[in-house]
Amino acid sequence: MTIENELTALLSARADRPVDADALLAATLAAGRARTRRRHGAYALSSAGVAGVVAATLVFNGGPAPLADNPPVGWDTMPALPAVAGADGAAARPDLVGTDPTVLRFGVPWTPFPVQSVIWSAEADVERISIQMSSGNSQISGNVELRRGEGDSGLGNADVPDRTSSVTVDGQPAVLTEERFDWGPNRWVTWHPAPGLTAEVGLVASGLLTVGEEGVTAPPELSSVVDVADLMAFADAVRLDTTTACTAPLRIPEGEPLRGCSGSVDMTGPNQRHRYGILRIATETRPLTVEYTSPIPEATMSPPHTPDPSDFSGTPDAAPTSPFATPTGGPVRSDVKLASIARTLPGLRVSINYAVGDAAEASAVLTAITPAGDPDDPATWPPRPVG
Amino acid sequence: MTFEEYVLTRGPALVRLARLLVDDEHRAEDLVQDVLAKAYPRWSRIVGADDPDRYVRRMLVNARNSWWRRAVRRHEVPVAAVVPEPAAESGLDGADRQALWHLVAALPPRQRAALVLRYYEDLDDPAIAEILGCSAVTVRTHVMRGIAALRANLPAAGFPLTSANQTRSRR
Repeated sequence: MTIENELTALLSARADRPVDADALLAATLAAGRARTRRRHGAYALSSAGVAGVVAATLVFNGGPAPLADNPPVGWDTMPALPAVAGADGAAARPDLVGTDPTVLRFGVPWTPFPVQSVIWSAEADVERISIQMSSGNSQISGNVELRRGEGDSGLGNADVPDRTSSVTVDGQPAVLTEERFDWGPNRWVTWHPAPGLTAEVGLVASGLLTVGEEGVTAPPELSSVVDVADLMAFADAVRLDTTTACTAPLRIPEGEPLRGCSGSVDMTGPNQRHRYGILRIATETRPLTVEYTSPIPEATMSPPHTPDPSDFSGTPDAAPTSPFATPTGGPVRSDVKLASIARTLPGLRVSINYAVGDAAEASAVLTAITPAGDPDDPATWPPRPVG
Repeated sequence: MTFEEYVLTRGPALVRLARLLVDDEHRAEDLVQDVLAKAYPRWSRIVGADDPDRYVRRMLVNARNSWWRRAVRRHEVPVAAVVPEPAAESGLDGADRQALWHLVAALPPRQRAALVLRYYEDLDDPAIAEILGCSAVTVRTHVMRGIAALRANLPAAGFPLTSANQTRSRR
């Protein structure tokens, strides 16, 4: 092989590993909105007078000072998500974990820190709730996962040595694993509520809420923000005797098999909630996904072309080609050309991403979608978004 | 395309590109997140550009360079300690591939970016020039010098670690 060919193979080998697109989106939205709030706040403070700002800043001598224009926003603890009436949790029916994309067989009623965003997802064999929290100027990522099988998850880093110790979660033996990085520890606890079923809870300080004006986050010193007691309390709070609906503020028509579901809510400002989710109703080889988001403010994020809601079979949005992320971040087949159509419902923008050639089916699904519940309150969303 | 759609469709590719521009998996994700956060408030303008994806990749390469300057002052990241390297179809064994990666990591940032954009992203000279903010001639120079630097450290039999380490120590 030539050096050029070796280089191509090397670069592909180092780069081509899965990326969690949903997590990237959630983190990016949180950081982008924090940036927007700071910018707007900075303008306001500038108008009010710089001298006061300087005086206030001097009070915080050393360390990342909390910005007066960026007050903490979010929920004091976990926002309520609906359970699925009549459905069993993993404690009673561990065999059902990862079998129904509309039901997560556990609940997370409490978090050790205030919550800024929640992402839930259910796919074949894996159910997960990820929570972004905050403590002071630090962002904290919590992850609760139930999965079939007893293998390792993706929380560990293969090249960093693990330190393990025995602990107890909800009366069951568990393993606490810790990896040490320069900027702090990565910790998670794993146990097996039933044979062939793994529960895993992670809690890690993952970044700073305020970043430098250049927009590039320095590796933060986060070693003392989250301790083992926080992680264990978070793990002990996980309920396996209840369920969480993989819910959405809409209903899609009955008849389409639902292959995966994910959703999220996040607090973007005082009393400003954002929602985003995906219902995947086809396979990766012929994707058809329903996405919902908060309405997109024209001034900040207007798309270049918004299709007429009455023209579902009209010209689709610019078609991304590949890779298109599935709800779990994996790419669909790279040769599948995608298009999308969109519609605005009260408090929601709904779009369908579909393989070129499936426009009629996509239009039919989009036409039949109906809003359900208060878009701002996931507790009012239907426990099952199909039918 | 909305910002959300862009991140879901192109975000993974940006992370993969960032993995090759920096040496740390976590920092690659941080870098992409920060660049996208910077793009978020001005998305309506970015999406109106001829090629929004190229624009964001240019932001990424530039951010990497400025981040790198600050990161070097902060502390060094052990290259080999972070990113697991999956097997690839190659004539090299694992140690040789690791040594070649050390050589790539030791290149000046713009040479490295040019090689990544050429041999991983498979872009042509004009496209790379747009991202790097230079002329196509300069791109060819970066690529030529980058390849020459790699080749200069190659003995006929392969990529000995000693050579790679000596090169890294000059960074």
